[in-house]
Amino acid sequence: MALYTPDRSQYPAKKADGTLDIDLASGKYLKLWQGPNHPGITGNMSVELTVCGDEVVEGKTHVGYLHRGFEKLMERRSFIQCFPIVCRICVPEPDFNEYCYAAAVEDLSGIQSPERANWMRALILEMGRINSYLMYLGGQAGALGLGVIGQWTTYARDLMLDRFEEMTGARIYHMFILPGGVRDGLPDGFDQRMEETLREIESTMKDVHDVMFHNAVFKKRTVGQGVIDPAWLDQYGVTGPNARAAGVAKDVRRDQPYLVYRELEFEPVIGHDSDIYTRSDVRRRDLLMSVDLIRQILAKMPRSGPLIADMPSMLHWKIPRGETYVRGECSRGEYGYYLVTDGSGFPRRVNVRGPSYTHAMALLERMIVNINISDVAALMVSLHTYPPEIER
Amino acid sequence: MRALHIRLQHLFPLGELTEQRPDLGFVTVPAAYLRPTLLHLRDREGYTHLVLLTAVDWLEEDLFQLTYLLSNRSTGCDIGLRVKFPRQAAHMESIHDLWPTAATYQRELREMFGIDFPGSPRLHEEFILEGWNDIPPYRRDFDTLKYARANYNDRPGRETHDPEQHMKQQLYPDGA
Amino acid sequence: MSVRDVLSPFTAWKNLFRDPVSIPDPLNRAAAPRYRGFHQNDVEKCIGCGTCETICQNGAIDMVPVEGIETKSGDSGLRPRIDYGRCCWCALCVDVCMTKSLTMSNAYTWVENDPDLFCFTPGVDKKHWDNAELGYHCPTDRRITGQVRAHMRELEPETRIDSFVEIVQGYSVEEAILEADRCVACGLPCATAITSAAWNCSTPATRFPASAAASAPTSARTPALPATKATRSPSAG
Repeated sequence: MALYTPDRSQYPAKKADGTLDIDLASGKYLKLWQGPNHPGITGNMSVELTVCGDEVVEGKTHVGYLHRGFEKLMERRSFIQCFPIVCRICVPEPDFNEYCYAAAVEDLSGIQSPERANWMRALILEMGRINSYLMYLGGQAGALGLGVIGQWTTYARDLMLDRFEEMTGARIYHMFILPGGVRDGLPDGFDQRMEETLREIESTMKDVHDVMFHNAVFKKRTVGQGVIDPAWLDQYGVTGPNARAAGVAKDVRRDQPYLVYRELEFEPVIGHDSDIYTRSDVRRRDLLMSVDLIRQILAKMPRSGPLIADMPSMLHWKIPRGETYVRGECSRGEYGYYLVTDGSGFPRRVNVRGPSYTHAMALLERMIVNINISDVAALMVSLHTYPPEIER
Repeated sequence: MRALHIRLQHLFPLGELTEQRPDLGFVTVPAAYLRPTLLHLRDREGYTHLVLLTAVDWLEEDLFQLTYLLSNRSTGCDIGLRVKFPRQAAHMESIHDLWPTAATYQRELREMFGIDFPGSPRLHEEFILEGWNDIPPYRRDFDTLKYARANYNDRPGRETHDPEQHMKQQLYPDGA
Repeated sequence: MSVRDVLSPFTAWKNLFRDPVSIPDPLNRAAAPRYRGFHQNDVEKCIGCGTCETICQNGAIDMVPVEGIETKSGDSGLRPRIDYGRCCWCALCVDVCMTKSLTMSNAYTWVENDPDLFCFTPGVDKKHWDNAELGYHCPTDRRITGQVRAHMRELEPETRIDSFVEIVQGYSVEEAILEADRCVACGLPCATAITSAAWNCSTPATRFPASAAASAPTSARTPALPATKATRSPSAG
């Protein structure tokens, strides 16, 4: 396992305050902006690179291109009015916002969502996870020039969006997980169409496996590249597939089971080499595990019963003073909502803990040093970051 | 959770434990004891994962609250440390040397709440807001509606009527 | 690195012999039966209570007078006009609608040259989806406002038959709070009620009585925020 080596022999010395002494006027270094408009960037983010030759000396992540101030906006919206806006914090996998927000509100108001709603929620979250991974695989392959993978996974994702559409009534922002339960049950014939979709996804994944993972070029550029030292996991708050690829089976679904994950059979997918290839492979296997989980959920979920708890009138719903934190395992790691209430009809403070917050900032800035410019895109995508959850 | 709280109380002057769930508790820590408590939790109690660091503005009490949420993966428990301090000249000790990732949180808190963390790296670099010239926007006394009114325009032609007032005018035009 | 790694990527060529997976006629693709598309409003059923406007967190709904609909007892004569530049199709307005007149069709294509036309009054401005049957309707067993009226106790007939005691026994404090909780503070009954001066619904404090929050402690720490009224403003932050 090739680990990051802090060899800075040909690079600038450190100043007393720990920053690098970079003399741009010397002509030895060059500033290079990757993003915000760049095919090799994930979403609305940019990395300010200082390069020496082909090698990156320093990288700084810049976010803020999609800051909408959701946490502040929610402070002047009633609890039900927050529900339509939380999903916008993460575009490719919005359901975790809805689930975490709903669960936090339920926790503080002492409401229990019905059993059937919990199964529906788990189903939606696993479907969203597949979507998110499919999008990631396209991006990871695209960052290394394998454009065709993105076309295949987009096709598979589109089929899953059709299932979302018939179940929730929307394709991207589902706005389906209300505080207290979910909006509706499964439509007629959903199981069969879902099974067809899952088979199609499995067949697409087989093609992806053949063309992307058994690919000399892909292996050459990813094996041994961008290694996360397991010792960094706690220092940088690394969670999700990034941690599991380093051999640590961190998975909230197993560590602190929420919803119905106690009743499902699964083992967290782990890898050992912690490089870009392993992280991609962990996500590919995790995707297939989600396919299996969806089958288990559909086989076990109750088909009748209430979908939403008895709620007070949401127009003037007040929640007693308190604070809580609720987490879930999204496709990138630990997603959580910290909610503080003060007895009024509005949240006092909402804080969204997105896994990208640590992955794309502190961790990426550390890992980006000493790698080739052409590998920056692959490294960044391999951390699977979604900038909107950094800046909210 | 209770056992941990009792163990900690022998060492540090902690406040009462608020047990939100069996696996989640919140406890108030005096600002001077924050660092030793964090170190103890990290090195002795297995709370190695800094989940988040964020602030709450209690404007009415003139206090800021910082919440340090730590997680212990082997027991599946979380503990939130609350630190309260006055809003004027708000500052707090930096913990970037305990968890390097805390530097990012502290940068955001400096920008969004105006809380200073002396010694934290790149603290004064702009994080999200470029060219911001108002008070830190996540403070409670920053009014988003007023800011939006001053900086953005409404779509022309929008007007609404209050159903009750409209009804009174229509049915009793002379105010009877 | 093996021979397989060199040869395997060439399996991508097999897709040359597959049929395309794209939708042949994307313009006429029907949305799912419960798709949350463009709004429909049954103007005869609608009473113009404005609750949809209250709950809209985007400030997309205005209540406007409509030609041909008169203000009368139990109907304010106003109808919701929706600004599609702001709507996010969350369907809270459909869920909260008191008369279930507001629904959503599953139509999702609408082309105009003039952007101002996307500010429209459903049911009044005629649209091609007005009679669409599919789309999102609030399921009847789910409410986001408490709508089940608490039963008021009455004396048993055997007791009433030989006494002058009040038959209807009224609500206990808890029941009265629950009953008040159902009020959406539309102001329609108050506008015509004789005691409207005493029960002045239009001040924000009484529009949503604090007593309605059965579980909340009465706190002196009211937030430094406008009351719910502020969310009705088009430019709510």
